[in-house]
Amino acid sequence: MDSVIVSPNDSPLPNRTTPRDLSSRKVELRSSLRNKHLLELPTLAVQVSNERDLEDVSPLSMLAAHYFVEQPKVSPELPRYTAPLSAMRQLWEGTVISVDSSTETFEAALSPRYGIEPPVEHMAEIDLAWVSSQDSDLVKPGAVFYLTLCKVQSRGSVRDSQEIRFRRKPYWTAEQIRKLNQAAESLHARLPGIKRIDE
Amino acid sequence: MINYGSAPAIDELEITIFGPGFGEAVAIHLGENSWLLVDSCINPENNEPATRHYLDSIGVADPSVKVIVASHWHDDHVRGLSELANRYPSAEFYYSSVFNEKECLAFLKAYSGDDSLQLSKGTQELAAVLETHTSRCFPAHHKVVVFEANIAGRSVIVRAFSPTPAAARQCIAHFAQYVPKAAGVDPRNHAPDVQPNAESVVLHIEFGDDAILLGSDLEDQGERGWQMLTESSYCLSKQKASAYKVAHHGSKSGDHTNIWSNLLIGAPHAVMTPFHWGGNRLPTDLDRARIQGYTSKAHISSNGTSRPTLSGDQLKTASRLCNKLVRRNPAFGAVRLRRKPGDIDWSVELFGHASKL
Amino acid sequence: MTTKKYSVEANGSSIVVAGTFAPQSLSPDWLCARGLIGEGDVDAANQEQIVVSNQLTTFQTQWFTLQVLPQQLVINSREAVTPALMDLSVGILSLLPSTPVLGIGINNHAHFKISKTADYHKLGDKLVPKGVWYELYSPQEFNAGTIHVTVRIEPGARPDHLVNELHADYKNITIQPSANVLQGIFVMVNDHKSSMFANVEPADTAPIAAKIIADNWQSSYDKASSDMEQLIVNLIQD
Repeated sequence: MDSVIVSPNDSPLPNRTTPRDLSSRKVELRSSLRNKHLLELPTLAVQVSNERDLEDVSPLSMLAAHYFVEQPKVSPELPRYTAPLSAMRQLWEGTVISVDSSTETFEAALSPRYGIEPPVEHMAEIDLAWVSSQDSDLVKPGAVFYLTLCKVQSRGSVRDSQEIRFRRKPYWTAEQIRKLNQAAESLHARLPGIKRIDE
Repeated sequence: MINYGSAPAIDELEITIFGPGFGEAVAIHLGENSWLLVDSCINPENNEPATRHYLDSIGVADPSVKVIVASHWHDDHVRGLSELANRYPSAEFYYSSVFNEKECLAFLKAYSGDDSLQLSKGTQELAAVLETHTSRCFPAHHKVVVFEANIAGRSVIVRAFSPTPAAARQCIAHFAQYVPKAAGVDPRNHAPDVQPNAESVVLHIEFGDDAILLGSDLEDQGERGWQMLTESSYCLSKQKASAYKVAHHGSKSGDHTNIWSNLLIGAPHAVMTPFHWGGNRLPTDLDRARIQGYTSKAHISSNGTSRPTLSGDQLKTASRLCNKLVRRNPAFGAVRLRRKPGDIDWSVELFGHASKL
Repeated sequence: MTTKKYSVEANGSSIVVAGTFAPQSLSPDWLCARGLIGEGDVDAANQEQIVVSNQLTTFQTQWFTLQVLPQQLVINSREAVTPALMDLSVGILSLLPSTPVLGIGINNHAHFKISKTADYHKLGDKLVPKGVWYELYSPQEFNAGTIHVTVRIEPGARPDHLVNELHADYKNITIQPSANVLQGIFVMVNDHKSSMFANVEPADTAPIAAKIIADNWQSSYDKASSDMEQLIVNLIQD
């Protein structure tokens, strides 16, 4: 494969690479490089189409150049993952049923998504302390959240980790509101209406 | 897996109610292999709509389902509804007339359309049926005839008693509040829980000199609920029912003494499903005692344990965050009532975790 | 007591959307203003490495990294894998409904630790038999090792060749020694979807892409998890 691949095995990003950093270096880009379909590359994919100097390349090519400069002709030494390694143990999708501010807990219906056999729905009470401050306003009846329980390895030690993350959907746009009203009107026009009223 | 035995005889009436701790569905045999399905829930044992699985297991062919009714839009009454509508293409589909109004259709679209993926299963199910099977979807409200035929020598008429005009007006205004109007302000996080259940469709099924009353989730709300229905000359003129699907899971808010005195025969058969939703559990002990005061012939579809099903390790892991972890659907069960012409009373059969109330 | 022959030490997920993007517009503040991420995420992004430009935007929070190039959007999980990744990508596409999309990659990976050294070598030998290489390079003088193997899985039986079509659905499965786990194997499943964009106007593709991600993320994750685990089992069994 001619394109440069950054896999999750590698550190995913170069550090603040700017044109000035590379302007003094000319890198001979392989003329065999061709445009490749981007979806072959599952993470960060870089394409370089022509052999040229670096001064006038786009940041897209800067990333390619970074890796060519760092690891051009030998097997690259894959840098270590900067984030801790995390292995999921259980994933639940939850729905808030009620919130009790006096006990600082909320009740939730939990639907298993991973790591639970048999996948039977459960209900539980969860302390509000587990909810991050940025999600605290989202804890309302009906709100959906993801509960992940995992094992984390970091610097040689293994610990349990858990997180609750509330689902966020974007605000309505004017176009979406217009479309939904239009869809409602269209459906209303197509529905047959009352079939028969008793006398 | 539950063994339901065989289909009813051609002239045998039947009402079967299905329910785990969260969910309700009803199958009614009108005679001559004509079936009416009301609401839908998922059987947790096989992840199928409970009524579809039931009909398949007793050998009922698809064209036999004549009508499907969505009495209520809440999640516990509509899970699997779209599967039923797809599976029984010759059945007419009835829904609360409240959702025949533009504002309420906009509410459905807002919380189940392409721009609101996976937000609310209840609105999604109902919206999917209305969009996919539009030509055979009909609204139901007070005095609407849902089905009528001469079956096995009997005149069979299914009528909707609700929603009343006052209930419909209130509901439409209520749903309209939740339709997004301002761009960039309203988040789309989840469908609001619009209470109370005034848009519910109560059904009265008359079989000659007998009847069944299906109370849906209607509550007592003056002219919007049972008060009005139990004093309505229209409702009072209809045959009193000998079998009653208790409204709103036996709750006090879903009850009214006039139901038992005005719409039902003395000591009727009463069937219901429980409702387990967090700390909200219906029927309560007081509810059970109250219903038992009206009739000793009361049965509930599920009375099972709610102990978690997780293994020791899984439970230990989940308990890092979760206190008081219990199963949501304690156990699935069904109550079946059957009656042939000439029978003195309905026969009762209990399946799964169903029991006497 | 039976000791398990392998264990999952880490897993991760990413979503890649190939299309046309304006990287400068997808800043943390932009996402927050539209309800897609919280203010805590914005603060975290601004405290770490962040680039926002018309050729590249990249930043990271506690739970995801985002990279936007003019022709690609990539969202990677950081710590715990969460379906919020799906929500974020779906949300971005829903806010940019005219974005031309060429295809989607729903990608999952895992690092497996192989308990026994003998099983670790058995796995490598089964995947790429060393005998072929040692016929060329004498084992007395050279050591042959697998860097990585990628296999493409396409639906339909076409035993003669793999078809590389612009609008095709397939999975690329990569397996290689883990850089992060001692005696470990790294497996990645790239679930590529682009057939549904054939014969669709570019301006109409973003909603389709959003729906595909929403409808398929969980099942893709589940299938990838079980396939990766089964692959390891198959490779180390006798």
